Amino acid sequence: MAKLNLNQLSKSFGPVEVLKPMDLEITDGEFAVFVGPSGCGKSTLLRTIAGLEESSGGDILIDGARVNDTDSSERGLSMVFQNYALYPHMTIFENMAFGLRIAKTPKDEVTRRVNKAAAILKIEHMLDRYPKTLSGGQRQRVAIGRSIVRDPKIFLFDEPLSNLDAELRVQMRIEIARLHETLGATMIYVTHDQVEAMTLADKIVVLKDGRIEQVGSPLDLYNAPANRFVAGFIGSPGMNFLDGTVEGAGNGQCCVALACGGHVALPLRDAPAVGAPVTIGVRPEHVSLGGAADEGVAATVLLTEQLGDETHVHLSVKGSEGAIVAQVRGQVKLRSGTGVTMMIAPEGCHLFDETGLARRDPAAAQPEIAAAS
Amino acid sequence: MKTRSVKDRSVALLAWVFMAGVTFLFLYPFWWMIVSSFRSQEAMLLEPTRLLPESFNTRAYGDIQTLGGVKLWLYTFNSVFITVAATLIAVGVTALGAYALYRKPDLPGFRFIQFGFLMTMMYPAMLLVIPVYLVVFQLGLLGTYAGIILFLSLMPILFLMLVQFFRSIPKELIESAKMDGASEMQIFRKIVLPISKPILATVFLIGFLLNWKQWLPILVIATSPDQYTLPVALLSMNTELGIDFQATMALAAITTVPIIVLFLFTQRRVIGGFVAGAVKG
Amino acid sequence: MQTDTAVPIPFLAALRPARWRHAGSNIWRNRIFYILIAPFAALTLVMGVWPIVLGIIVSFTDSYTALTPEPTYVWFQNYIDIFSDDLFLSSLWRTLLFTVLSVVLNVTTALALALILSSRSLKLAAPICGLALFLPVVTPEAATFIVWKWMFSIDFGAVNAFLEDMGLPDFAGTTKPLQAFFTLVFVEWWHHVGFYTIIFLTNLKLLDPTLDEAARMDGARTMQRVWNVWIPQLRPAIAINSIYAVIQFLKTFAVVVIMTNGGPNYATNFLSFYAYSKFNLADYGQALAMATVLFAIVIGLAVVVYRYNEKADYR
Ligand SMILES: Nc1ncnc2c1ncn2[C@@H]1O[C@H](COP(=O)(O)OP(=O)(O)OP(=O)(O)O)[C@@H](O)[C@H]1O
Ligand SMILES: [Mg+2]
Repeated sequence: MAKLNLNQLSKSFGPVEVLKPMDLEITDGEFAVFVGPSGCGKSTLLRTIAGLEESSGGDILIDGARVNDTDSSERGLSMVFQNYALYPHMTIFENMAFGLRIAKTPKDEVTRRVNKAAAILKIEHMLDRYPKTLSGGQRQRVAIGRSIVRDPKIFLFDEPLSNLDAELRVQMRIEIARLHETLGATMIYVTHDQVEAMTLADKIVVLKDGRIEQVGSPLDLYNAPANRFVAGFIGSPGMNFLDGTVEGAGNGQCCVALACGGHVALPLRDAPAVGAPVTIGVRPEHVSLGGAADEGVAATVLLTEQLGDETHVHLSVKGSEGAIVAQVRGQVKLRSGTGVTMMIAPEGCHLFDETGLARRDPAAAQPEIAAAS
Repeated sequence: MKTRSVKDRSVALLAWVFMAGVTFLFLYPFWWMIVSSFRSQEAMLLEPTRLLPESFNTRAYGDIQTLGGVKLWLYTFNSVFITVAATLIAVGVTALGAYALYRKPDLPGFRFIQFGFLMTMMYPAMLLVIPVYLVVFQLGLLGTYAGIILFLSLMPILFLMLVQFFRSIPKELIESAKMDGASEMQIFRKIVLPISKPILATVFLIGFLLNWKQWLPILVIATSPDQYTLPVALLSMNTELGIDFQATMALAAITTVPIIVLFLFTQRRVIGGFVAGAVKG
Repeated sequence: MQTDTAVPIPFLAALRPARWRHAGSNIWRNRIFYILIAPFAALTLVMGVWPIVLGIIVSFTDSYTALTPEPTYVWFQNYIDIFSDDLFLSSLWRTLLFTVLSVVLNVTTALALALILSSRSLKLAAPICGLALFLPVVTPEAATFIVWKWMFSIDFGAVNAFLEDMGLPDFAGTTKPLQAFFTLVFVEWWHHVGFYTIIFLTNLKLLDPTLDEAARMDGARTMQRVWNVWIPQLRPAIAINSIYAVIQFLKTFAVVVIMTNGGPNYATNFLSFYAYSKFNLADYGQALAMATVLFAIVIGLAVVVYRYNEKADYR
């Protein structure tokens, strides 16, 4: 158990700066998740923390001690890899005991700790088997067990579930969450699956192009994304974006004319200048269908996805290339090509300025809709 | 449909006959060698292509017990000793070197070693013997087992096969051991070495076969027939020791048959190893 | 495409300049790797780099003084000598001709053999035939070349006996110049073709079967499938086999020593054999000048191939 601090940490491969200087604090017992699109540097960041890559600048502190020059074998961390990386020539027991034996732990202590970890992960009955006789899910359990045994300061996971099928992934996700609860250890988990991030994390770190875009709790990121990228990345189905122009501001309100027709008024004291191009983001659950034609935006149904308890309606609107998704409760049947009226709940709207940064008041008041065309 | 299957069958038959012919072409010289070693020269002159000897005339095998003043068992001993020693050294040295080069190709000096090795690989192997003769002369190792073994233990093909294998080890395996607290030495001894056992066996086999064949370096570095191996003794029979045909075939059989047997028992490994070294080298 | 077959000589990558970053601590931290590589480095230096360098140095010295502590340097005299030696020049052309002939012969027949061996109609016979083809690759050439030498002998060689049985005229074997040259082409083919066949066979097994199945569905006939589906996919293997073969046959040596000794009338006097016979006459300077020329040819070829492959990789 430990806390981790990064101070201006950066990493370059040759001339390419893969990680831009970044600060980060992960506190004791926290479950931190690094998310971001492929190639954004998640693995590199994790591997630099692990000591498998040398940092190019800045400091890594574990419990306040600088470890940049400490070998990865001496940092006291453990890592679970995407491809499990079990030693093929060792039994499951030997795999789990390897680290302890290297550390010259007494024999009965080794047995005790391996058995304990095996019990937690319910793999006691396969300790004598070899990795190649195990299924993917079982192998991943062993890999996790191997890191538990060593009682590391911090657990590192690099996309541990992405080689598993969907059902197993959900199951293992729950187990990892429970494991964190049981052990109370500090864990850092890399994934590009934002559902994993939302469900597991105490703290999500969103990365893009080697830069930290935002750090916060899952709901913080969901409710108050700092910028357009985070807004689009967190949440599934993703946030809808509509272009617009500021047509009036003042009185703590900002009125935006949408390119697709219609207007939105948000409470915003520090609004952009009138005439500035902005983007309005709205999550599918804040888009609804129906209502009077003069109160909403005219849209055409592209297709509907029936999920049973809810329906995702993909809509096309004037002036927007991508489809707008509306999440509607219950089972709604709409033929594609049908014209509908789309309503946007102003309390669910986010305003992003030209640079993509979110503009919002420290404490958001209830916005009101003012729509007419 | 019917004509198609008739045609298919005749094509298959043609392939069968053709490949039987090819197989015969590749096996017959070996058979001819063994049969001839049991037949007198006169019998050979009368009927060169007899498939079985008329009687097992083992005169030649008796005659070659001493060749050029050296006992056959000494040639055999030299062959086994030099081949095993050179191959063991080659496998050990090359495996360690290939592992180090695979793990840290960028360490200061390593590029130079790899470059030097590359050059050695490209120098026409037969002609390398000429300057090697000069080096061995300067080292004072002419006419010694050490000189012969040292040169034979430089085996590029083993390097290619080993590097190929090391590259196929997932790097997470090594990183995982690092995270488990293992030092580089422990990683090598407890992870890499155990999983390399099969490839080391293959590489040893191939090295053995290749070194058993060697003759020119031994002929050049040796100073007397005391250091000759079976193939070198066979060659000196080809030139100096007259033209006792039957005896030549007997010695050729002694040189070859053990290798054929070894190869037949290990063919999967050997062919697989050769292919791995060549296809991906 | 199988990219792993496309780069035959990746070690040319070693030619790239090394990066010498914060060397001191780096060396100490990685001392274990220096220990591991030490024997290999020593062996490479003593039995590889040193001989090669010495060979090049000696090629610039007078042969009589080459082995003395203070050799006389005659610089390019040995090179001038060999390039004004008709025997050397003819051996050079002969070697190139032999190489071209042998490469074409080996690669085409190996490809044909591999295609036949991989056809389903052969069933169990295929592995046996494959083994037979590979046998000459692993058995001592000293023995097999001697056997072939006697097989081609006029008096009791099996070859002429067969020819007679079939009512064909005798074959002069290694006793006449032209016949001797082609005898060596044949025996070298017998010795090496199995290797190339196995490489093709392995690559054939790695081919994408869906392409062939698609062609079958389209009703393509066997020959059409071979030409349009298999051969194009085998292109990397053909390239790599050709390169191996070029290097292999440029160095042709043992078969000459054992079967013909360069004769008759220099008809089989190949480059490496000529260099070696100079060496046997203690003419170290010229022998090593020839070796250096052959070395330069091989390196030149390797560089060309490497460049070509690098370009191909980016395509
Ligand atoms: N050893 C390396 N040498 C050079 N560049 C590298 C190296 N490792 C990673 N990179 C580059 O660094 C960037 C970040 O890679 P990284 O593996 O960290 O991405 P990631 O976020 O983990 O992506 P993914 O979700 O696909 O795993 C990529 O552009 C990659 O090409
Ligand atoms: Mg990654």
